[in-house]
Amino acid sequence: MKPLLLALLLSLLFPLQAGQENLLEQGRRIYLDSCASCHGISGRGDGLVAANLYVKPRDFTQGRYKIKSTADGELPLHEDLYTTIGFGMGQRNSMPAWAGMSSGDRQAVLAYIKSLYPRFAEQAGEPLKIIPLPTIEPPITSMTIRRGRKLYDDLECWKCHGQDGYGDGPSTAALVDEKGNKIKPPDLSKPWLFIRGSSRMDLYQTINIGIAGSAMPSLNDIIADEMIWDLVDYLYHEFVQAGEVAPR
Amino acid sequence: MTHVPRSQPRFRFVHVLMIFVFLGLLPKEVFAIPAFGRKYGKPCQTCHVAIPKLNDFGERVRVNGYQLPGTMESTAPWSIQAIHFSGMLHEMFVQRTIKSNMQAVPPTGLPGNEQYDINSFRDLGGHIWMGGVLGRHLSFFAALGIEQELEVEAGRFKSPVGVHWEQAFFAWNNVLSSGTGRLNFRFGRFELELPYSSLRRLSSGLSPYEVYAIRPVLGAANLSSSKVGASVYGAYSFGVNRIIYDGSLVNGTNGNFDTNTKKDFYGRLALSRYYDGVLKKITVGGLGYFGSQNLKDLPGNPFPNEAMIEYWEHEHEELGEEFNVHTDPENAAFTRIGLDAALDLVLLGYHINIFGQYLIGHNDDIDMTDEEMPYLPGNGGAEGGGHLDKALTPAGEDHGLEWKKRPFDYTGGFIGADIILIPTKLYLSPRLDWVNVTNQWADKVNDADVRMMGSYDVVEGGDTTSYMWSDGMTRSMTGSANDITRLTVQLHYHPIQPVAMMIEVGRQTNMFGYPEPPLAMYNPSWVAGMGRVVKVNSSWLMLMIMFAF
Repeated sequence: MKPLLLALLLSLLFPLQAGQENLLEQGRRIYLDSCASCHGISGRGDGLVAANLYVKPRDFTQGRYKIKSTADGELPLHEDLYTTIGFGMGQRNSMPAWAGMSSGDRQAVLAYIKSLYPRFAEQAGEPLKIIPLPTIEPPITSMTIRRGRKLYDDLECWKCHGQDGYGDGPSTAALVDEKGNKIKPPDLSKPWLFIRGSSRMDLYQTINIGIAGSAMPSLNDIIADEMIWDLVDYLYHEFVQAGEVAPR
Repeated sequence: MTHVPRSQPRFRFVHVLMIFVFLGLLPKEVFAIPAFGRKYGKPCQTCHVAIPKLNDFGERVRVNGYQLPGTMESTAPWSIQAIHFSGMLHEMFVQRTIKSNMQAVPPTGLPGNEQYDINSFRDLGGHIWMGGVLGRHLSFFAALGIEQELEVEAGRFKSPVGVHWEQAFFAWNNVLSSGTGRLNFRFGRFELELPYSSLRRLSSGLSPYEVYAIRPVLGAANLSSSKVGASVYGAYSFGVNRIIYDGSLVNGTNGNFDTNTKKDFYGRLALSRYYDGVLKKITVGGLGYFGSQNLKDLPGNPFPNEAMIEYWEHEHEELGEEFNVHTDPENAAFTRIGLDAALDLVLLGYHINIFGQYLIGHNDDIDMTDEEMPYLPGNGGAEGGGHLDKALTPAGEDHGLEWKKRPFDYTGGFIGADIILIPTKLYLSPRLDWVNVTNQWADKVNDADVRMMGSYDVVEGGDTTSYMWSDGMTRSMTGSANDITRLTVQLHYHPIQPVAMMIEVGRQTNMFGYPEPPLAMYNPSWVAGMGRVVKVNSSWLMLMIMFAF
């Protein structure tokens, strides 16, 4: 009896070695420890904590991810998800940056999360339509900023983000995510809320690719690349660079 | 020896205020720790249901040494750039009515059947928190409470500001490097791993978890105060199940200096399980606290001093009786055993956390004797008589004095719910507390009165004088109160993240009081303060605003 009790105690105290666990089992264990509080034990985004969060957690069974490098309707890259786990998603969203989680654990939990949406397995190995990153950042000038402001008006960004960017446009009351949860556009004067980051390149990607599952569309096929940069420059200058000397 | 014609309850106004302080007239509140929110750049609701109560994720962060579950920080302690620091200020308004329903013994100092009304702003108080991670395995947390106290000196109110350590501990986390807090050690002053944290509850200081807060003897340990000692605690997950445990070895003196020769042991074991659907989680658990206290340590030193013991021994010898003062007054035992259960569900889109606690409390003896307690009739005082008038009254008449043991027992619990009405904004928290106390002051023990009333005549010079003795708190005077019930309903509102506003209404039947015994009972230096339920009802409305920074 005593050896059995000792074995039970040891098995409780000492974790199994990663190598002994199946990757998915390891991923599920980590998921239940670290992710299930918010995302729910089945990954539907309905965890214990979800009801009280500003931004509802992702439903992994739907396969729609906000931060990705692929075209609308495409699955995200594995790297997109890996990066999101490591960097988190802004400061209004409760998804923290799991930078302290080991690479192996992140890969395992990613494998488990992807297993919750069968299309990942079905399309494994198939090429995805990636929206490429620009290789250079064009310089920001007063001209690009002015053009950007005009685009902000013409494209009716203000309907959600507000005339002054405070996230108080006339359409905000009706905004919902793909599951019908009420959502708010970020106050652009608070760049720390941007879930993809606030560098010029981050803003470019957000505008270019959009944010799947939210009201933020992709402008990739709608306006030219230069115009996206104009918008980026306006937002970056007006909100991120606020207080700094305007470029000439 | 002199006798007074009739023993009188001799409560002074200062007692009133002492009682009010004990009863929580001065609500204290705790708050979320913005330092951790700042560290991770996340809103409060990531870790809190509503501040200060932690949610499931927040509990996982806490048990992992203030690190995200599944992670272990690798920064070396000497290269840490900053220690996280934050604070909170609060101000409150209390409107409270306290009504004494006691005919003859108004322990709150009120005349019998009268009412006391309070309408008061409380001055700003606050907390300062420091906490964080010092490398891979080390964490620390310290909380300083800064409160305006209420004192009376020479019949005048005073409100000095007092600073006290609420908690201050150092932890060695993740001893097994699990990154999930499977095994942690903690040293210092900390709150026990109670099923429901008293420091992080949503209700105000007027409505503590009553069964955790009861102290049968003034100065004795209760569950809700932080303790000094060491503990091993943690949580182990297997699949959707989770075991939560704590084993603590502590002083049982609520953080005060402890001189008893035994330590107190606290143990807790709970099992929780996640579910998918309307029901999200079930937690069931149990706790046990096995303590001892040095009766000599209690404020006012209720345990008789050497001279008194010597005197008693002498009297016993004369009576041919065995002397039975507590044989081990430094280690008077007490226990607390509890069961708890909680449900989390999402019903019609509302997240509801229902929680309950049942607890049994027992103190071996609150009267400082092991087996029997000498009845201390109403004389006392300067002549040193009182407790043995049997021997000292004229002609050594037997007035039926009793010697009884008096354990102290109580059962009670609470059931409450936290309902999220508007996510991140508005929370509703109703709660019912109840306690049933037995063997308290003036209760019968083994069907016999311990504190009796009686009278005898003394004939001097042909005149007969009748003397009456009692402890001034006999059952007939205190009434039949054994039960305390309290219902509170609180609305918790966050207009913006760092600000919380609280409205609480409460109604309580009877109170647990800590009155000093009448001076006629004991030598004044004892100030024993036996706990008992007093027939004093109260109702209140409390508004509080808190700002964390």
